[in-house]
Amino acid sequence: TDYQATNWMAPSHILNGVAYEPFVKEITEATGGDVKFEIYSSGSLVPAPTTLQAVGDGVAQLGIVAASYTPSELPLSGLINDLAFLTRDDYAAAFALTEIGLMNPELVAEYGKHNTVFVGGYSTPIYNFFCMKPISDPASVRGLKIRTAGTAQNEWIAFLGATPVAVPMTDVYTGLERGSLDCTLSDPTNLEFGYKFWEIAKVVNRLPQGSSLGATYVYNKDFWAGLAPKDRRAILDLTGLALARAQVAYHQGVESALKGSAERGIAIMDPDPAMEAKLKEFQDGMLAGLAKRTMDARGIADPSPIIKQYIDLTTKWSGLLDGIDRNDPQALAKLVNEQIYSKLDENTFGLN
Amino acid sequence: MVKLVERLTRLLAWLAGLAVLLMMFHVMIDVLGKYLFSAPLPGTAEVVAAYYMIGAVFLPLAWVELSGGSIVVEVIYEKVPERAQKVMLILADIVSAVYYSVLAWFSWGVAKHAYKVNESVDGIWRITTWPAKFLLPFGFCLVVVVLVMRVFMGERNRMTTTHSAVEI
Amino acid sequence: MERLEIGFVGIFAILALIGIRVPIGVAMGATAFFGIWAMMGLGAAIGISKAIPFNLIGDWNLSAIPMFLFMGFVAVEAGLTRGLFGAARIFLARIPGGLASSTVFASALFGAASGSSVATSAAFSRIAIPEMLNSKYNPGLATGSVAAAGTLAALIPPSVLMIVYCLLVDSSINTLFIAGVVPGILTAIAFIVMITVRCMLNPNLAPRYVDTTSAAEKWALIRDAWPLPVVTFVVMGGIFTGAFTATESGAVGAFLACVIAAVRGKLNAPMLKRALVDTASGTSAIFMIVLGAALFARFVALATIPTWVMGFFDGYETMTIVILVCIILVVMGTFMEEISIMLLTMPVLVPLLNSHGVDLTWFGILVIKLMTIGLISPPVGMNVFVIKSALGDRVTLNQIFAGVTWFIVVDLFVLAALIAFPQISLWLPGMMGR
Ligand code: NA
Ligand code: NA
Repeated sequence: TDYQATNWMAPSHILNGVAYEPFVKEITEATGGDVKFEIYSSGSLVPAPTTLQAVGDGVAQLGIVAASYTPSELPLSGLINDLAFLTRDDYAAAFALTEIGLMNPELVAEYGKHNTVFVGGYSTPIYNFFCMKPISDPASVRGLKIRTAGTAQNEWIAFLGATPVAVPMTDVYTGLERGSLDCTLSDPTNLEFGYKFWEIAKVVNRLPQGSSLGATYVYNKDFWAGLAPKDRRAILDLTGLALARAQVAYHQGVESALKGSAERGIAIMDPDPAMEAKLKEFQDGMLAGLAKRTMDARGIADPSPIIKQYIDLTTKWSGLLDGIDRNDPQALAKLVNEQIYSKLDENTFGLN
Repeated sequence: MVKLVERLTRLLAWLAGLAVLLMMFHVMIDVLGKYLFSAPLPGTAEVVAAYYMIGAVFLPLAWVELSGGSIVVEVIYEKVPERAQKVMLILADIVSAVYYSVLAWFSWGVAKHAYKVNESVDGIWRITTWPAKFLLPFGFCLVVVVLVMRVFMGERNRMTTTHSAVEI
Repeated sequence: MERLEIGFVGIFAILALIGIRVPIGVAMGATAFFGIWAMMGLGAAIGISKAIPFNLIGDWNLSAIPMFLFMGFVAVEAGLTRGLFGAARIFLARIPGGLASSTVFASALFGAASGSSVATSAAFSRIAIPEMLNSKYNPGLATGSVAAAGTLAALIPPSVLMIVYCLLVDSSINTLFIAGVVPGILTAIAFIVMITVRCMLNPNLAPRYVDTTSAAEKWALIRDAWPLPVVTFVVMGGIFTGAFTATESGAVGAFLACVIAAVRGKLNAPMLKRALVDTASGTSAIFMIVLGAALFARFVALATIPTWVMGFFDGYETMTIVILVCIILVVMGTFMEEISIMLLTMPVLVPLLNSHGVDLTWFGILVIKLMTIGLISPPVGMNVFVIKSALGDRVTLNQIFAGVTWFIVVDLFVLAALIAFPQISLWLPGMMGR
């Protein structure tokens, strides 16, 4: 049968071109044509903020969901996305998110409440500064206008004494070009693809300012329950490789973007030690207050256990990934399947 | 009843106008703050998008309908006899009423849900957005009432606004 | 019924509903709802109707439109346009159809500040059309020139449509911006030539202005002309220097118009209230079409119409494909909203074009040109609707569409030139080393 998959990214974006297109073809093959998805890209079916609701309603059976768009609907996933500001290893963040999302009953229930099933997540590469002039220590960014997105980034930039500016991503390019923005926080793949910041940025400062997390594969619950168990198994077996490929594509995208930027004469600067110390100070403070402020803002029970579990999982994954070739999707997929997907029972997972 | 609906229609149109004025001032203050004091007004984009735009678009629906501001194609309408024109007007009002009822019903569900989860968007400040979602069912409901009254009461009791929404 | 068949029934239903005078936005939205219901069940239809409205309208990028509308309303209500066109008449009196040509000229300049073609038409519908109608211009020429000249804003950077295109096909925004300059100027010149020739051949279209004003009066008019250029200068300057986004420049422009009106003693409460309510209801009427079109685009996508269309392209030559695509986009542009068209077609077209080695910057200019034709072509032409909603009963939709026809013909010639000579688009970016 033909189903709909909705993706608000452009067809060429990694989370679409790498994470969706080959994946849905493999699903068709592995299920013997039982499950066939048509991909609707660039939000042409539903806009990003309503993807979760639309998948729950059955407008699409599969979709990509960023919790940052719907923190009120997904308070716990939103909390984990706040924690992404601490990310040091994007592979570990992606697989930790996937593991906690599949194994933690509260997170499973959070997606279940919206008639959806979470089956895997991504992490963008680590965010850096792209600037129009060199920056080094904290004093050098004071008063600069810096484009940010999300609470953690805003507070961090304000903490530095710079001005956080919220403009749409489409205005950042011209904003930098014409001086209404001095810097933007972004993941380095945006230098080369999409917004092509390497055409205008003068400086890339590699201060590691967290990543952004999201759910790569969210299924409609009725659709999931209606699949034959062997088809559910087939999809689960394919997901680890698909997630690994996306992270590898991100990783290689960063390398290619930085190499190309350097060739274009953009200065690639390592972070200044004083700046790193300042960042550490901010991150510690943020972590200490996160549980309480999430409780206050979202009206949920104390999420401290989830914070701890996620952070432990990122440490665990960093360890597991030690010695694995990060350019080899098959090796990564083997690890992810061992740790996660082989432990899921296709006869019960996502059905309660 | 007619009087009440008329008054409500006018009130919502004025509120929509107020949203436009507030949008201008809010954005102005943000611009001034950004360039004179290096301190933009946090949440401007979010408030403009979630409140002023929503208010300006959905509140004046009934007013637009009453003042003949809806955009229609009259190629066929102009060429048929008066009796057929009357039938077309009623049919068009019924189709519009059905469409707006559908939107009113579902947007009410969306608004109730947003209220339940205390919906907000994260910016430099956290902006609560659920109240704006109630503007949609509100605006849609009133235009349905206006359309239904026009279908049943016909020309005799046709309500009109003081001036066309689109006059120069 | 198959989805595709339901899709064709839906397109027929929309035309029928529009025919019986159902508002266009309602016709599209209602068809989409019931069509999706028929294809995928009630749940999906409800899901789409819940997902779209708030997020579509609640968009910071679209908020430039009410601001530019309001700026125009205030400028007209406070009489700020009179002086400018008084001066324009003096300078352009000798040229047949001078006011229409100066509208094109001014729109091109203003379009270099405004990223939105609809907003540009909205601003000039309030400024230029009353002046032309008062000068006994043919209503079709008066409204057609504003509708068509507004589209220059999409071709001359900055341009919302170009940004959307670049995001969809993943190509350089900057390069496409630079590539749009020459085609934009070429279009403006072609419009002015067409207006001048037509008015020379048929002087009734635009009665020649008989200049009886004394030198002193001329000076008074020119002195009186300052407010609008000041507003435009600030708006444009803000955008060119990157200081303002479109919404910000709209708000600053509107605020400035209010201040100037107040200084000249023309600002009062009833006028302000009227301008505000008119702005809101104009915005509402336009966005109800945008909403209907957005729902309809989902219906078309789910009905697999784009895939069906692209099935035709198997095994054709590159140039044939480009020309066929242009024809299809012109046809889609007649009845669909422009961003929705790009959302629907680009994902299908880009792999096809890449496999044929088509330059996506050149193709982008063609697409933007095609979209600007769609903005003014009947039956669904956003720029025309904006003018209609600004003018109310003074002109009929038919008159505007009739007036626009000549501009569409010129547009098609320019398009042919752009297809035949890619250098028109690619020369300037090449010069600048891109
Ligand atoms: Na422009
Ligand atoms: Na059109």
